[in-house]
Amino acid sequence: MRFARHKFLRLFIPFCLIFYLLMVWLTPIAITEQDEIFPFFSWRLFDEIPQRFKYADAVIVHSIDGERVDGVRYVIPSHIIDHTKSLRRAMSVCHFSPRLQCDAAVRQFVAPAVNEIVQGEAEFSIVRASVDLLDLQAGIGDMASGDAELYDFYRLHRVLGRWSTGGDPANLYLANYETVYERILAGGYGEPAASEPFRIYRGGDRLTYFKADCAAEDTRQRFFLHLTPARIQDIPDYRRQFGFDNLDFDFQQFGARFAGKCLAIVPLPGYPIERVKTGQYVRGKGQVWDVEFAGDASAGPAAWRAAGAPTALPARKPDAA
Amino acid sequence: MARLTRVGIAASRLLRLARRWLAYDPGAPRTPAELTRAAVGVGWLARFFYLFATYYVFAASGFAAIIRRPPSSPQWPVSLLLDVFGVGWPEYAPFIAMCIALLALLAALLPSVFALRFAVFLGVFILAALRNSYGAINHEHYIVVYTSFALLFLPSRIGWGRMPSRADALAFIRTLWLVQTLALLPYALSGHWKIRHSGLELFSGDAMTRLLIDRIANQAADIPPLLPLVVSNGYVAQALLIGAVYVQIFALFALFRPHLHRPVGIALILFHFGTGWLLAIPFEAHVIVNGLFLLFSPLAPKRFSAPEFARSLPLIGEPLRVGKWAWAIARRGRRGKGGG
Repeated sequence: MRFARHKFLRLFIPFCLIFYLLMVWLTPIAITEQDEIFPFFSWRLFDEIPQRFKYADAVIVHSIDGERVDGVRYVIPSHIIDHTKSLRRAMSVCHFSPRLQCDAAVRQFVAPAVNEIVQGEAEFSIVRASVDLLDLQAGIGDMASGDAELYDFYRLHRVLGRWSTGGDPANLYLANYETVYERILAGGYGEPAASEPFRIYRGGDRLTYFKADCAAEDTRQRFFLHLTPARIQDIPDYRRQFGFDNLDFDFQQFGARFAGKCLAIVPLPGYPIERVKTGQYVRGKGQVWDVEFAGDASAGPAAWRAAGAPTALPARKPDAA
Repeated sequence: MARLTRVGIAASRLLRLARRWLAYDPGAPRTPAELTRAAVGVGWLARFFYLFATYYVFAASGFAAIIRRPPSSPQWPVSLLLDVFGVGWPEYAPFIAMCIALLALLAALLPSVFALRFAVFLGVFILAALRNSYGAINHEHYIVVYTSFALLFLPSRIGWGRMPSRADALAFIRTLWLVQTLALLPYALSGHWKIRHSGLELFSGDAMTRLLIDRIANQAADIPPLLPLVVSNGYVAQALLIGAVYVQIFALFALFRPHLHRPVGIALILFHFGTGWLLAIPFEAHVIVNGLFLLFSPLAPKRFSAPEFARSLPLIGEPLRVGKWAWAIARRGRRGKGGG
């Protein structure tokens, strides 16, 4: 009997190996939401040699408990957030899915984590920055000695938000859509930088696209948005050869269509912008329309590197008890 | 049934062939006394593992005390328990962890009791699932789950000072092989993916430097102590990467080559020290398991032999073995001529 068990175990070892490998192979077929079926992990660790330029995600906090964060811009790199993969997941949803799905993903994954870190009601945006690994390599000594932080090497690429963690975390842009819409109709939103076919308003940290008589076809084609920075070093290295940063987007990412009117509010990166060129295009066929106008050199939230003040996480509030 | 038996026999023969092809054990076959001593050694290793599991689960209870909140990304065992016991059960995680730590301590004292070993396996399985149900996944815990699973197959006749029978001795050794297999499989998989996804780029001069810097850009909260030094010496970094990939890809060969048990154990322990000092990924549980079941492997030869170690190395050992064989033939030929 014991020898029979022994024989079973002899076959069981290769069976374990094969079963494990089968589970690893089946995981991407069986599920897409997670990387693995616990505890069968593929052990894909450091298997791709990274390229020189990469993206990093972070959260920036604009205000805590209604008080604007002055001087110091609070930057929370993704590794501080316990939900690291959730932040990445939310970002990938935001880049490839309609705005409402992006909003839902941020509410579900990111807002609770920010709430936990800040320990208060916070207004925040999610940013995607590009990082040049050579810059980081050169600055590793400064980072080790505490003279530099990781986000000193971030080059702001894209801003999403804002959101609030208070109560029911809501995308402030979403909440503001109706207000913006009413202000535009009442003529209280300033002079547009361009009028046809979309009215385009420059405003602080965003560009607002508006069209009064808007059909579904008007939003079907992808928008291109080329920003020429005031200082070329503000944009990622690989974009410098073109002289502008590329923030192309689909209408669904930032826009809403209601009552026959279209409104999209596109957040801008933090660097001063000299020229803006935007329009719509059809892949392989070229531009449908385009406009070009001067950017606002002082527009946008000042980049944290330019802000001068050290970035830091807010001190945790003492427990209510 | 007869067909199933035939399949079993065929599989067994195939496995024996594979083992013979992979194995290199130049010593004389083990005597029954040696096998018995090895089996007793496995029993002791199991006890030490359960002692470590006591510490591991006790340390996890500290984590459990912190996370008294509903899991944000529950793994399937946690989802299952949430469905059965309601959302409140993670609140009792610290208490559950303490109970499992106590059971692990009892398993260290009485490893012959299957119920204790099973309870420890179930406990570490659930704790690892809970620990990984909050977004980020820490794969260090998996090795404890795998090892406690493999130790379920220990024979039930382990006693203080009792010599195992021949059948039990073989069962001990097969359990050791299962532990070693599950411990080495992750390295083999990891090495396989590296070759598959990076290919020749692995051998570019700055591959390791880029990996290290990328890790900092992604996750590291602090700069690990050795990182600035290694990053500024790209060739050292690259040599470390090539060495690590070699050990990983061929890790499973150590199962069949006893002369590799200790060197591979040491290499993997150093590998984890390296990941701790360079990437801030310590994987302490892997260090303990590799230390126990490879470095202190009861099947490893008593004395280290550099030539046999070299001949056991995959890729390097094969030409050395052919050379040894050719040398032996040549010598025999010379002797033959001299004698004639």
